[in-house]
Amino acid sequence: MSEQDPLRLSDDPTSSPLLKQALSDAKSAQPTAEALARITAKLLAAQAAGASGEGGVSNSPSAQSTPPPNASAAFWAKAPWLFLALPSLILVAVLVHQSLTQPPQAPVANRAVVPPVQAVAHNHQPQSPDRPPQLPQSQSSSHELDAGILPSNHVPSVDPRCTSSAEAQRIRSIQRHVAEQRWAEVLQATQVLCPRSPYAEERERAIILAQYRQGQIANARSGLERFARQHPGSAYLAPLMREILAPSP
Amino acid sequence: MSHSEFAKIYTEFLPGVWRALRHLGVQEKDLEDQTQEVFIVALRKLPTFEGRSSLRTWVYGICLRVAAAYRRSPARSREIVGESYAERHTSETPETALELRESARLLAHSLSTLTHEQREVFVLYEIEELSMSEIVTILGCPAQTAYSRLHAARKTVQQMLHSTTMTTVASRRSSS
Repeated sequence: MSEQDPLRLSDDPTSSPLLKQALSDAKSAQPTAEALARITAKLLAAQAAGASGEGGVSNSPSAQSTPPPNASAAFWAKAPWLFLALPSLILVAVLVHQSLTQPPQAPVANRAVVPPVQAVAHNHQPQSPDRPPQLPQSQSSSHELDAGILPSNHVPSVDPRCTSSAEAQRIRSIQRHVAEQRWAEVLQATQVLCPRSPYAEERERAIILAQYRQGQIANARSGLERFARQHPGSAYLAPLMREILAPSP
Repeated sequence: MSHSEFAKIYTEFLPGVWRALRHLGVQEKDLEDQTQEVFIVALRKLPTFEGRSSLRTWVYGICLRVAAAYRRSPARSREIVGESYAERHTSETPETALELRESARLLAHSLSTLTHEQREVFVLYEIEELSMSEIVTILGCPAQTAYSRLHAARKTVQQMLHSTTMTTVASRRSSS
């Protein structure tokens, strides 16, 4: 504030306590970690759409206000390094925010429905955030696995028909493949797991990890965007972001 | 455009941009898209940024323009005052959270009664704490105009809050 500037209302002793309270509250407002994650994901999705020449940055109800895909593509083409820089910066912001403001949350919904499998999920060690991700083995192939299975604007609800013990066995198998880093098997196994089962969250996490480890970076990041939108409170979200959005070594 | 410039813009201004858009009348459902829009514009324009003003005034200038475009957007429905002022206080006690929500709602309501020009100056000065010289740079208007807008905005906000408080007190008395 320069010398000529008037005293701000929040510093003015004659201001009412209510006004000071309101201003203080307004100044301290900040986006939630989930909102930050979604903004990040949208920026990444814009980049991904630009890189692939596809339209449709977002399927959110307010997508009308996102910039035209062609404009985004032109922008990102001029600044390809941003694609690498952006995730790490946002990741730091999100994690700091999350650590400061978010209480620990349960990993997944439907825990009561599937105690045995959840126990497996909880015992499984997430990918270490300190370990650099493996180098992508190839940048090829659009991924057919996700298409049609996880519509980006659709949050799967639990289908009672998908709660069978066979489904539980399948998710255990997937989690074992994840733990053993057998990514091709993960992708194969997730194909036979119902996306509307109680294990949808674990399934999507496994798909995202497998895609990333197999070098399908754009698919993994668009999957992460969907995951952030569909499971904003998931305990898997922060580890996934560390894994997927961390800059390559 | 350098990595460090982008890093500075993003890490330093993301919360402020989000907050400013919110207080400039962008609805909660559109807030993420509009925040994204500010940074896409900022990053697209960064190569042409000549450094005549600070990064801060430059970014907030984009923020005002995005908010203005949003207001003109036909897809935007009428502003719902105070619709988004609740979620931050989940860790407060219910009583405290209620008081905070109420004060935020009152402020949002007061802001919605200002003209766009008054609201811009008030939000930038009283909430984002920019200096008046920075605000004059952003708006490109004479300093006296900016001061007049701030004065008028303050008067309106204070009157709104005062009258609301009086109404609340009177209703409490009558009910007790």
